[in-house]
Amino acid sequence: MNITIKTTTVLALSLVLILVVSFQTHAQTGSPDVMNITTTVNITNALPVIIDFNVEQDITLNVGSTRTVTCNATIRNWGGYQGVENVNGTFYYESAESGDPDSGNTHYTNSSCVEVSNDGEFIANYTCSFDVLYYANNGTWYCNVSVNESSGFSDSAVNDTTINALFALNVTDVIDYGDLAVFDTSDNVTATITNFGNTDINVSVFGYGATEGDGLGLICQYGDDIAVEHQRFSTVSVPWDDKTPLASTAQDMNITLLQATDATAPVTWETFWQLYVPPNPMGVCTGTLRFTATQP
Amino acid sequence: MDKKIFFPLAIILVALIAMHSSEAALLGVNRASLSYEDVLRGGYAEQGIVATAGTPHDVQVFYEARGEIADWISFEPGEEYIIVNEDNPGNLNVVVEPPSDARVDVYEGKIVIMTGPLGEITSTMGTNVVVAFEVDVTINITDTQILTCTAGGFDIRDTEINDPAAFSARVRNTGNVRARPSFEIEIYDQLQENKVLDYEYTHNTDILPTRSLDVEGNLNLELDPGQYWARITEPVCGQSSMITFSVLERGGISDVGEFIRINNEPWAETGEIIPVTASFRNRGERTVSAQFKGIVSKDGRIVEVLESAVIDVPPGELTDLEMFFSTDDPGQYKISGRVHYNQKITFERGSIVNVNPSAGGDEEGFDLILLLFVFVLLASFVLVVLIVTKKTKSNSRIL
Repeated sequence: MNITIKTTTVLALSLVLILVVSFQTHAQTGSPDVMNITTTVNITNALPVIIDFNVEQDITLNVGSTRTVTCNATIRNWGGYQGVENVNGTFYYESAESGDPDSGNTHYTNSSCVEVSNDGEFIANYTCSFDVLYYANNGTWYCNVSVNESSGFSDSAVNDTTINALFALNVTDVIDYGDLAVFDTSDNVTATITNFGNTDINVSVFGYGATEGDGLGLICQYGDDIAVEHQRFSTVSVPWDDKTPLASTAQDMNITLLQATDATAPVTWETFWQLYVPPNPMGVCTGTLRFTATQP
Repeated sequence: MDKKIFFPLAIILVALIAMHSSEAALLGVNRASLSYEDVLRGGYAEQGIVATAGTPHDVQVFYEARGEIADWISFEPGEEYIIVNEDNPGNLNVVVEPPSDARVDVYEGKIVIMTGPLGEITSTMGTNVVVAFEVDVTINITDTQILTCTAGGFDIRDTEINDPAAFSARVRNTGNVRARPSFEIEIYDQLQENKVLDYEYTHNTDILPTRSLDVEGNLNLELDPGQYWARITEPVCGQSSMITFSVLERGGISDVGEFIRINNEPWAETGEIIPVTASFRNRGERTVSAQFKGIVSKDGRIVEVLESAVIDVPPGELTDLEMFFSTDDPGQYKISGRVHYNQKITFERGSIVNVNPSAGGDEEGFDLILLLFVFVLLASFVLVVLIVTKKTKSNSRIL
């Protein structure tokens, strides 16, 4: 009987304890009608973020050489600015894609942009430079900068700019016929025309002695001057009779110098010039040829 | 060929070609055509052309207009030619001024940009070569007046009492009629609580269409010494900006400070002491005493006032003003405030800190539950032992 009483007492105490535990658990979770759940997480790696990005605007290329274009990016990495593993950039024409292969006309890559400053904590400034060739297409270009963080996260940003048209012409600066006597016809003298810009160009030419439209080709030190038509030109090497007489007004040379596509092969055109010396000049004779570039 | 090798080689080759060509007439321009839209009869418009040369030697670049609109076109600079070389491109401003009796129509012409003779003939017979570019010009004449502009760069510099305050702004006329810059200036006290003055300033110069002007003028504000805030608006351009300036006592020194940002960890836990710093740079000429004063708010209610110690900041130096914040209430808190320095205050800046419940509090609750569970387990074990003991004794009696 005593044992039964003790057993019953222990059983009752246990039930009370279970009820207490249940109540405690319920109190921890709150009322089932209004349940507040608190969540917490420790983020160990965050994405690097490009918080500011700009590219220089209104770009005029350098004649026959390269022009450095820069894109500047400010990058914040909560894991520390040192956690930025690599920043690279592409600079590409509107019809190209960031992942396209490099091309002087449409696409440039900088695989390791340079950190120029940091705040000692999370933020660093990077500059991506591109040496853009003179024949890069004119129009809208995009600069795309990507940042890769040491744990594999990345971010990228794109901004646009404009490359202006560049009409650039390079011509042999003197056509020297040498020392000639009256009734002589000079040998062929070559004048090379080169397109050092980023557009196609047509070329026309005319000549004058002292002033435009004077009808002369060369003004001579003594005696008569030489009329403009006594100079002749051609765009292929042909005899005097097959050449075109020069005029006092612009003549289309029927050559179009296309925009270059290869830095190792500038687009050039050789022109061939001859002079006939009619009677009766003497001494030094000089004139001027004007090569004019126009948009095709 | 590998592109990594190809591109540097290409650049070197281009440089060599350009060097080889330095004896030749290497000239470029950045425009093949100029288009002037919505130019008013008797009006004005201008556009620029950049001429570049690929040679270190100076090259004379001449320019002239041709065609039916030649008389409408003039150039700046007005000289006969400009000098360019590979390091110094030449900027040419092409100005169009159609006559007042021009009919509404589209007109076309050309600008010829050319070098002077470049070479030197060494024999008895030869010709110099001149390189030229023909730039097409189109002018669209309209009889509709357009008044538009853009404005920015507003500034009022610190001044001494009874002296006028120097005002500056930049305005660009994007319409086709002359624009006279005019500004509405509302001046507020240091705390930006009370407007102390309405002021209007109209510049004495018109801006021609397509031109920009750096407006500079003096404002007779007649204000007492102290710091003020000014909301400057250009009503035609529709642009405005808030700036601050000071009126100083005679012989007073102007202090200039920049509150750069508030720094804090974005995430914290309840009970944690959260460091907060205010980055301040002294841009003035003498040391200033700087102190951050701000508030911490949650759900729009102020929960704490934050104040840093007063720190002396030498000229040009960047200083972090340190404070600490702690709370037992989880949630998102907004920290905002200004830096006070030598009786001046900066623009307000803010930041956010997210406070989560601390992990330590949860562990305590979990321990209590675990203790109770063990207790119940032990009680159940005792109960089972007692029942088994009772049954064993009952069986012994039967036997």
